[in-house]
Amino acid sequence: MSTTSQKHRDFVGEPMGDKPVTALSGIGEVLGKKLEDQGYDKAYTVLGQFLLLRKDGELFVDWLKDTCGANSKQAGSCSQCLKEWCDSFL
Amino acid sequence: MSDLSAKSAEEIRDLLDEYGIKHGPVVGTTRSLYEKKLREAMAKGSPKQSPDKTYYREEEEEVTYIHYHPPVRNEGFGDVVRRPRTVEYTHEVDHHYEEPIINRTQASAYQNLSYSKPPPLKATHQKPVHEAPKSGGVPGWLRVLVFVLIAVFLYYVYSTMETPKENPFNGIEA
Repeated sequence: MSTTSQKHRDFVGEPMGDKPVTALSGIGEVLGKKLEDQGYDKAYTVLGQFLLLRKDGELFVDWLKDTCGANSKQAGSCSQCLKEWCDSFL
Repeated sequence: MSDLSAKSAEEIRDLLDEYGIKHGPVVGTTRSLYEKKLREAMAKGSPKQSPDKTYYREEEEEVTYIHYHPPVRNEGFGDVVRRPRTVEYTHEVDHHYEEPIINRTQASAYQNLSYSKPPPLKATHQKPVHEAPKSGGVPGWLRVLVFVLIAVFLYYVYSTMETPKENPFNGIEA
């Protein structure tokens, strides 16, 4: 996570409100669709799962891989952005 | 191990603790993840990790029994049925195991590992206790001896220095 994407900065910079799940860094249209199919339509539902896993990045990455078939980079990016969001807004 | 999905959330939680896997609440959406983690842990070093955990946990809980438990579990595979009965019992109570299958694997896991583990642990417990006073005590004793020797030597020097000085004075005055 040496560099952060614009998407990452946008997400981490403000409360997530009702942003869609695709606003999460690392979650594009394809993964977003898979997550939506499983009921994770909003970013906060994924945040909920992240919190349930005690903000443990490793567990969350595994969960995201299992749930929507994300690769390590995508899952790591999503985990990082949720972690930083929590650090600022929780 | 394939019957993980049949277990209650509580049992899954206990198993996770057993294998030293950090975890949050075991609920619908997290359960499959934890089951997967457990399966991995069981496939890998299942006997290794769990007894370690419970062993140390036991140490914390009942400090007085530390020295009594290891020799009992030491008995290995052969005497499993006879001797470690009491040990098995305490573990069952500790972790609320309800399924016999788990109990058996757990119990044997404990004995397998503790067969080799506890003795070194006991030894390391005792050694430092004996060594520490020795390594710290001998130099201290020597230090006192050296100090006394130096004091005696200095006193000797002092007393020998005085006599020659007194003599010349006496000689001059006389």
